[in-house]
Amino acid sequence: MTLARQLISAISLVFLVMLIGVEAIYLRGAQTHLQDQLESHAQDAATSIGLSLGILLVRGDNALAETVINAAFDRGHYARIEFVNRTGEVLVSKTLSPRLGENYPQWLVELFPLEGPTAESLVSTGWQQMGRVRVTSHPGYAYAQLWDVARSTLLLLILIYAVALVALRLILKGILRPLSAIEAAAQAISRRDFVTVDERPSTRELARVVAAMNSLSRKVREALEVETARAAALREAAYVDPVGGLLNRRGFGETFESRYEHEREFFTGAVALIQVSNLAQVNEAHGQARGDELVTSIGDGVREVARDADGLAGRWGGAMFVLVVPDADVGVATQRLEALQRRVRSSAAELGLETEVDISVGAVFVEGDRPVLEEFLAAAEEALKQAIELRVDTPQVRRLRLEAGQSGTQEQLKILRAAIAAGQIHLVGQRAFALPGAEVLHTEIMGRLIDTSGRQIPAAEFMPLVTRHELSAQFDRAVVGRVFERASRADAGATIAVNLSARSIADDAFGDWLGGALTRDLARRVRLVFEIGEYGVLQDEAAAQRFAERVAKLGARFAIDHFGVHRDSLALLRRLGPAYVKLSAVYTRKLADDIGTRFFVESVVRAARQLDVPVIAQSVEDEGTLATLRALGFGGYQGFAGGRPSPWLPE
Amino acid sequence: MLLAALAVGLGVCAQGIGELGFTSRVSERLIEEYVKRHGEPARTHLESWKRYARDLKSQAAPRDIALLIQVNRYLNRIEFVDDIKHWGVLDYWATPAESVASNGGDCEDFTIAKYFLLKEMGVPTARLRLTYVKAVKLGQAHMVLAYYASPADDPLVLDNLEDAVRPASMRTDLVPVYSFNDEELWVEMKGRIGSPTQIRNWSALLARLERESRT
Repeated sequence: MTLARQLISAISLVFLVMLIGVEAIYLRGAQTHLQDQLESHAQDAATSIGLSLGILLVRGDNALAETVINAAFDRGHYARIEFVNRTGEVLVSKTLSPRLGENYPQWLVELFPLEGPTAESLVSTGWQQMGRVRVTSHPGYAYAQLWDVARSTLLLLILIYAVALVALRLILKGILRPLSAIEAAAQAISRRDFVTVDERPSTRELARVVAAMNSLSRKVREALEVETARAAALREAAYVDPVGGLLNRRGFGETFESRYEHEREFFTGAVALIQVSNLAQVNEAHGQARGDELVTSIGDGVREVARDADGLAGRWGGAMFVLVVPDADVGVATQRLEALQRRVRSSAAELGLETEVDISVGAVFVEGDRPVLEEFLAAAEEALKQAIELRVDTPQVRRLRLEAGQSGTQEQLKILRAAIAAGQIHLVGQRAFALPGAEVLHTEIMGRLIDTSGRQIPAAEFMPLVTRHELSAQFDRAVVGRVFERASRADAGATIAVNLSARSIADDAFGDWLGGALTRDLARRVRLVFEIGEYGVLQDEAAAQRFAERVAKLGARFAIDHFGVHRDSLALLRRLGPAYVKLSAVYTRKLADDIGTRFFVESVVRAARQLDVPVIAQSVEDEGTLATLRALGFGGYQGFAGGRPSPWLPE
Repeated sequence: MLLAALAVGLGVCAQGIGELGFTSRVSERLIEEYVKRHGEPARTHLESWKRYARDLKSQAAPRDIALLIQVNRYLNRIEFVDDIKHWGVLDYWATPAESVASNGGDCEDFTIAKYFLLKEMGVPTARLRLTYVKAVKLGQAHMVLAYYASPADDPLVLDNLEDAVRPASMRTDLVPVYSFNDEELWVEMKGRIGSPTQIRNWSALLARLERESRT
């Protein structure tokens, strides 16, 4: 019940009791008054009858006495009138039935009893005593009067009560109006939206609450902003090249690692190196400033291509840029690189540099290979050297040697589709543990495909194909379906995390299917979390938000994987409010040695904690790292240190 | 007023009804109070009144008629003064002690004083009636005490107009109108004994007697 309702109920109850009390007091007073009246009524009648009789009864005429008494009796409200002679003999007696009238209810008689008193008066004629007259009042008339009074006052009191209630409601509403604003703010804050209440209430206590809430909210928001700013600054310092704003070598390396080595495990696409071979000359001829301008404009061009191709760009060195064009085939990749080269050349021309700028592009095209940046860069560098030597205007693209043992892509695709369609999914789980405490936070389930011969297809093989051929939604559906089947055998109340690709999230059909498959029983039995990679979330945040809301309605939650790599990571926390985030494994490895990484990670963790989002470290392999993680305030860890992935609930 | 009378009635009851208005209930403190109010002569009057009552009581079984004459004569010595002149109020019924102490009273005061003195002497109150009369010769309203040896009797009249105590039939100068004796009449009410007389003055008198007896 709301506060207003509680107050109104309590106060109206008090009012009601008071009004009943007032009515009772009033009726008691009326009762006493009427009783007194009955007494004086009896006495008056006795006295006047006595006087009359005294005058009329000179000759002791009983008939006359009777007449007088009759007259009095019929005109008044008496229960009995008697005339008693000197010796106590009753000469005349008139009695009215004791049955009291019907114009009033019986309970009135019981609550407010009135008695008919008896009064006497002496009757004497001259000096001679004749006897006495006794008059007993009849309370019936008094009851009727009492009832009338009761009714009229009751009506009035009820009216007053109703008016009082209305007034009470209005007054309370006014006083408690600020409460709804406070309540709304409190709810927003609990959703990690640190708002403040604008209107300051006039009630002292409420004003204080509002002031305290606002102060706290502001402090948290400021602290959060400080942390976020610090993390951003650290990131910039560590990972961003000051000229042009591209990722620097380290930044590029880590992003590549996180995005391709960890998220995908397998890579298809082009990795290119772009170099201004005669930058030194340009600097000499036109000055450092112009040289920097040139570098900036090249950087912009590279960045644009990366954006269009959904790839990655960075500055690898003084005059060298690196570009990753993923998931394309060799023709498309080459086209993009050619376009880039042309554009760079034209922007160099636009800058009005007299010296001709030598732009060389060397790239390697990788097809379904395990992403090892050094390998790719080595091959790209060779291609670049060739481009420089040959002095060509077109990008030199090589193919990376495929590892032996891999069958053709088309074959693979067929196997893949078959396996997915047949639901040949093998589930493995790895547990994440809490820090400190070491209780199990959740078990992350990963799906592995089994081909027709029963062989488990390595993720290395199928994942990139799944991604490239838009099979993600089907794959996810197969995995999730299998997880749901097995979930009935899981421990009740266990938390299970399942990975979903960005494509599945954005797919409405997938969402519908999930809504149907995730039954209420299931949601009650196990606690489900859907993990989505940070990059995928950033690509279509609106879809991620919609998906999060949808699963929340189904009783599940969602989390962000490979977190912390991109610039907007922390803002994501605020906007999406995930159940937890798993920090990119990239950082875990570098924590022990690299102070820059450590500072950065620390500020990310702090900012996340402000928002009550626990941060879980991935790929944790040794005790030493655990100690560091604990010190930095991580909420949990996952990795070989906690156990290798093992078959989950096998038949 | 009614309630006051009721309270008095209850109080009277508590003290055994009987002794309100008796000389025996006049304490030294009360005498002091009346001395303050009416001067030193009050002491003499009150003390001699008390003595008189004591002496009268100790006389062995007086014949009623003799007792009546003695009481009538004794109290008739009090000066007759109109209420308005004496007490400053119209129609004030003084207690016996008040009348004696102030040595003044009107017809009602005489009647009241005689009533209570006779009662103290043991005369059953059933035989006494305070009677409103018209004094023909004076042409004014008057009150006397009537004594009925038995209910049907022609009563004896104790009057402040004459010291003699004569039968009513012989008192042609008085026309009786109404008589009462509130101690005789109890209004029956469940569990309560009281005298809720509408005779205002009587209940006021009782209240004052009650106060006196507590002094």
